[in-house]
Amino acid sequence: MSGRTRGWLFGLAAILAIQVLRMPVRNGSAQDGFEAPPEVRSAVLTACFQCHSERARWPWYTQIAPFSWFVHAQVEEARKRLNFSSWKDYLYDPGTAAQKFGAINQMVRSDAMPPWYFRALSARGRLTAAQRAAIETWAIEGRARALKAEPN
Amino acid sequence: MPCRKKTILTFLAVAAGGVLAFSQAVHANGATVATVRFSGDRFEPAKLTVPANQPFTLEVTNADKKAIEFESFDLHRERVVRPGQTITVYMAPAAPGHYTFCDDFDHSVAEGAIEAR
Repeated sequence: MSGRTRGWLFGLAAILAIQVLRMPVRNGSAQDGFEAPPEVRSAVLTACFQCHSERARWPWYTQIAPFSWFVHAQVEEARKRLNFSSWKDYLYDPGTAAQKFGAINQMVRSDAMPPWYFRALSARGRLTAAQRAAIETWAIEGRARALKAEPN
Repeated sequence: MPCRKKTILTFLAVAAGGVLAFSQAVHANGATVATVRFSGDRFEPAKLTVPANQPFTLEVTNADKKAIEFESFDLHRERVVRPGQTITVYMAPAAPGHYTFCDDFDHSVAEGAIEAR
């Protein structure tokens, strides 16, 4: 057996071995409480809920290590930063709501969200120009309302 | 020491202890207002106690020279606080438990905690 073949076999064995380390698929409550105009809700539901909610979908490829580790870490971090399943809770504090609206606008406007790898993997991550514009307008107006309610 | 004097002193000591223990949560018009101050790269007090299952407000003062981002992932709150600024954070009723908060701009700053009882 050549060194190269041995290398491939070792790599394959390593990939099979790490499948033992499975990541738990975790979704919280199916209720999201996220309210927005229909075009915005529809776009956010399709493109953002995958990571930023408790309603993530877990296709088969998200169960294969080491890819599964990356996906789970991304979803955990995304939920920490912005979880649409907790949207009503954010709105309870106008200052927090203003920051969340501001961040959404900034991320969508700068094309940082949805991230490139999600867009590459899934058509769900590809927002149209009209969808982006709708989200931006909604976020700008939402931030203005929140700031009016809580000026500090 | 006469027994009465001892009783009064004991009472005063217990009362003072109670005031100290609950100085983090001042009740005004029925709503609980807790306060926390950021200075010298730390939150003071580092641990607050609030009543569980009741809304409360948290006043965060940044007495430092740099901006901080008061962040509680557990309680879903995120606010930038500029130097010298005091902000009011409105909190929904929290179930009994331990909730952490931090300066999300600087993770070397020790976390603070809110205990809902």
